[in-house]
Amino acid sequence: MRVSNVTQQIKNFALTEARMAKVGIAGIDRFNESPEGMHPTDFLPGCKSVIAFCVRLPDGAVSAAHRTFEDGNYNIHGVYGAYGYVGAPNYNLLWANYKISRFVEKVTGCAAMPNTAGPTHGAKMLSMRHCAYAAGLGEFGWSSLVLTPEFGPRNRFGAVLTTAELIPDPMYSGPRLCEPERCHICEKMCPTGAIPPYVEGEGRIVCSGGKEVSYSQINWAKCRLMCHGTHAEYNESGGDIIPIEMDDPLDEELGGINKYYAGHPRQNFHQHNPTWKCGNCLTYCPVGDWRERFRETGLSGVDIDKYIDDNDK
Amino acid sequence: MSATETIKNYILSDCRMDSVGIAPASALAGEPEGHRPEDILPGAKSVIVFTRRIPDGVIQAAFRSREDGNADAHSIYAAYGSDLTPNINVFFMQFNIAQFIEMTFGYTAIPVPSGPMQNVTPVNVPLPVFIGPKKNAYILHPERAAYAAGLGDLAWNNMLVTEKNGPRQVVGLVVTSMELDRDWPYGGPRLCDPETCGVCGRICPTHAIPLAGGEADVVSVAGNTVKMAHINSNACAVASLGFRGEFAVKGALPDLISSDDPSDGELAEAYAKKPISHHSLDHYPKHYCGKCMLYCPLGGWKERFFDTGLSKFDAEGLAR
Repeated sequence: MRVSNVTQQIKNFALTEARMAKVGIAGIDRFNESPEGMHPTDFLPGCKSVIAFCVRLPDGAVSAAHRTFEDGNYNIHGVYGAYGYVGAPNYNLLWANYKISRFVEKVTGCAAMPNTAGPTHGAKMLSMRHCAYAAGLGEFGWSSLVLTPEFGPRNRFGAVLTTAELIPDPMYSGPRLCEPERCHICEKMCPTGAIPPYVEGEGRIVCSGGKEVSYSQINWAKCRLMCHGTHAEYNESGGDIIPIEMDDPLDEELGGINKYYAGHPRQNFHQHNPTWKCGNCLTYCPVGDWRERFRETGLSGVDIDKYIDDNDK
Repeated sequence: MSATETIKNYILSDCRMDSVGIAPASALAGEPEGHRPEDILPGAKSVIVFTRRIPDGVIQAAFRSREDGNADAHSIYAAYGSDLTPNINVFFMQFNIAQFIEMTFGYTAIPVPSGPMQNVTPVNVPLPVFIGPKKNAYILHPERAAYAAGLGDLAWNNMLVTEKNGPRQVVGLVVTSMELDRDWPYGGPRLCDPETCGVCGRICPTHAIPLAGGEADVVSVAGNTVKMAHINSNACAVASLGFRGEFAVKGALPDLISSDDPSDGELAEAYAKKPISHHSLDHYPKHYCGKCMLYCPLGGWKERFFDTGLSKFDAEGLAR
């Protein structure tokens, strides 16, 4: 069978049988700049193609986070965790990875390696965002999330590596999606200041497919304060897991998070250490028709435009 | 085909649910603040409710362990009738249905978990959902929504009961901003009559369900008033979560609570001492009891379980 037919068959399968929202293919040459240990061939020797795909997040699931932060309805934040983050999206990617890898092996006769997309991964893994970027699904936002033109950052990505040589898709070349020189929404909406203000030349540089992009150097310790719900109103401990005055912690000062959740594994079934208690950089990013989908429908009352310089909207 | 019919067909065919009904969001406006459809999705217009029955073969696996002492069979009930498959299946279908509505019709749709990942303060239901010692409640009450959507009646044991399956089904919910053709609340004859039956109250090993005439909650759903037992959730937890060795089915359970009616403090203390189960996805399994569901005579129980020899238990005799 011709390579073009096989490539199309695989993409069709990803979009129909595996129910993914988007799919793209990167040739292995797009990973020439990958750091040691993070190259696809470190995971699958002989890898020639990376098939990246995404599941979109339902607007309804995203809006559950708005109910928490805008209405003070903390009860509902689990809906975002369940259907907008670690629950259904990750498990859908898990099954999609498995299905697609089986299909690729069947139609190509080559090895295909699914990647974990949340559940059961216990190690530093290949970056799904970088795979998605290399496969042309979108571009990096300042928030470090990959944005797609259709859904902004409200997608989650998976990738299957294969030794089959498939026809690559072009890198994303549409209108620029993120303009951090003038849009500061992700930085301003971050409750712990984990996303720094944009300063030209201070981002993390990523090279892929002949393109060079940069995104913010996130302060992950600050990010964890909110993502793990360390403050009293976001967890079930009855108090602050990390003292609230500790607003710029070192990584080694965050041991209390693991200690608390290890002692209470049942409360956040089935991810015992929750990482879904924030998400503002994802839920308020204007890319992907945010205004039409969330502001104009009344799902969010936040005026994000005040965080955009010279905004004519 | 109308949009409502398209969505219902998708739920019944693609998602393989057994029944589906639609209630207008206003039908649940009487729920406690924070738990009404509009609190969950501003602009909510419709609540789509669907059920998946639990197979008789799975239910009878629990009878094998309880009636025959075949402890190994209990894991089949736990996997397919209680914690695992029913909840997980509905969980993923809710996600798919929300995606289908948003991608096909452009309206917003929010799946509402009724099992995993809730973190809800218990104000809208006496039933324990058992996510930790906090005894979490429902974001939106699934059984009341099902009643409002015409899927069945509310029984004395607080469960949704249908003519076909009794209480032996699981319920899923999606709230949407799309205005759909509504169904009307269940209007048939009252399926559950605790005055003449009372099986659930008599069979409950910790007396969590009062007998007819005992403490009751009167709730207003979709303009109707329904009277249901006030469940002693702490008593229910003792049996369901196996806080005493007598409730063990396979393996041993430590005696952590001697009373049938523990205080919140005693329950929290027992939780802290409870060993984590590594045999289950649910580390604090809650499948140790379920008798009020397993032995409810509604849904043709006698014909399906007693007359076929799947159960030796004379539920009707108990009722009399």
